[in-house]
Amino acid sequence: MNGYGDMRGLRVLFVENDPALLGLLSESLRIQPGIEQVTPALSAKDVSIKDAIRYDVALLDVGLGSESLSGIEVGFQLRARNPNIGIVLFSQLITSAIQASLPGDTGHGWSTVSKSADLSMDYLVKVLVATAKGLNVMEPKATSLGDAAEAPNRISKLSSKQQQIMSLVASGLDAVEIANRLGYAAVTIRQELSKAYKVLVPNPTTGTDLRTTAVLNYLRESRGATYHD
Amino acid sequence: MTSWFKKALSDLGPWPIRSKEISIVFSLFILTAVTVVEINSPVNGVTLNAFEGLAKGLPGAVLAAFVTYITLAISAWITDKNPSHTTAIYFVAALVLAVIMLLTRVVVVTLFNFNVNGQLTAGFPLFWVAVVFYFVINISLGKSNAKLQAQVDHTKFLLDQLEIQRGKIIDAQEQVRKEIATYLHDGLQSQLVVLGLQMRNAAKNMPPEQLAIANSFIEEIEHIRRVDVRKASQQLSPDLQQISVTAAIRDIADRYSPEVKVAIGIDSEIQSPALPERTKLALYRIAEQVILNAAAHGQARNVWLSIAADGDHYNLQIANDGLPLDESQRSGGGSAIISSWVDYLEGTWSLIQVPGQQVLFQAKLKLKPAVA
Repeated sequence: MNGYGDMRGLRVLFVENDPALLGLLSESLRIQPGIEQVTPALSAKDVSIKDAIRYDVALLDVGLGSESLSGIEVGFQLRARNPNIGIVLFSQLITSAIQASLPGDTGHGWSTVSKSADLSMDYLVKVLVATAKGLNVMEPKATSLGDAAEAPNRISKLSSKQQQIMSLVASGLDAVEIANRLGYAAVTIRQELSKAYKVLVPNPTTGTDLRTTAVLNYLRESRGATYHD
Repeated sequence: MTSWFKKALSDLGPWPIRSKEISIVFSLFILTAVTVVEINSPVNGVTLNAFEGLAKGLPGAVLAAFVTYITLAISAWITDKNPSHTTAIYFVAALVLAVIMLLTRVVVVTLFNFNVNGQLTAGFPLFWVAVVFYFVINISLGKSNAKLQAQVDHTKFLLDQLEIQRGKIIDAQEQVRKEIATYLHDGLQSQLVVLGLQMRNAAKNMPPEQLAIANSFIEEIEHIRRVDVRKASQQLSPDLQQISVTAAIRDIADRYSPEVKVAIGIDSEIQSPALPERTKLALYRIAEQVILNAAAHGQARNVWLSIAADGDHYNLQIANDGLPLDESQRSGGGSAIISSWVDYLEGTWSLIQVPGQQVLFQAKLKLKPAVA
């Protein structure tokens, strides 16, 4: 609730026990518009609770090591000191259990963000700003642990010709080279490829390359075929 | 010299008094002695044959057995009641037995009218024979029993040690799994997050076409982090602090799907996350091992798992429709793992072949072991 309205940037406390991630994300956040100051801390011990009033929002790694307070506990302590501070929990695994364990009545300004490799800075800043204003933003990708089991077998839906073409694409050949090698016309190869892409990438997201994604999915699934042995 | 003497003295007793053994051996001895004397001492020119000799000796021998048994049984009884006087009673019993034997001889000779070699009967050192029998039998049985007991104790000790070692191996294995899982979960996942963020930073100013390719790679990194690394970490060491046994066991089932179908039925009490973490781990490891055996050795297509409450115990049953049991399934390396975890839950287990039907694993387990 502090500050954003009066044009001052956010003051962010960032607690994360992985030094590489702490450094990288702190630097990336600092140069974002709307962020005035980022205070990094490597552990719960490095956090001065009495300074809670100096921050608008805290970005807290949930797991801070087995011998330390968890990010959730640090969040409660900060909130006790500064009722207006927004708390954003940051974890590799935001489960529905973590979200359910957050306080319901004082759930004012508690958010969760998944620590994912495709985390976008814009999204993170938006969550920090909203949480500082007292809003709750729940991680949409919150999972129950069973989710990881999805293992669609898309390769088996490809024709043997398409599989042959995909394995050549994966080795770096383009359509013309594949056509020469297999004795088809290049246009046939392109047709087969676009069919294969539809199978391998049924719901393409904008901003990603279809061919690359298809090759990566193809490689992952052919790798996954021996995963259980 | 004194230590030799002490040892000899302590060898003498006290040992447990063997009423039955002494009375049987002693009376057999008397029977033999009397018979031998009778058939070798012709009276009025008539020589008794072996049967007649035995018949003559039998009543005396039976009486001797009876009297010896009563005397010694009473001594043993008194010892039980006065454990602090064991030594005294043990030695006095020898004297009492010998004296009573002498009295018995008087009675027997009078009653049964031994018209035999009077000198032999009178001169026979019955007193000392009784004493020697008493000590020899008590000492030899006592010592061999003590030796046997020592061996049993030693074997039991070794067995306990083995049990402890087995527990330690399982603990160590669990610890290593946990360390690798923690590394995968914390270390590797974190590095993948850093890698993704760095790629995103680097790709920021790329032309759209290249940015799209970079984004595909970032998505793949995220997929590896979210699915592959987590799945590996979960398989190595399930995070049972956060999830229920049911969820963890379902995870095992998913590993074998669709080749093996696992049906799961678990009482709601056990699904509660309040169970101690190690108890959950025990249930998980037992189920994991049994399902692995069913799938790998038994080539089962279907597995049925149930955990149901039964008083203060729980019955874990895992049936499968695989190949009939053979020895490799009964006593593989897996059964040591199962035994260790079943022991931890103070339970028992068995693996049987229901005739013409399924292979059935059954375990009766205590879900709240006394030792935390």
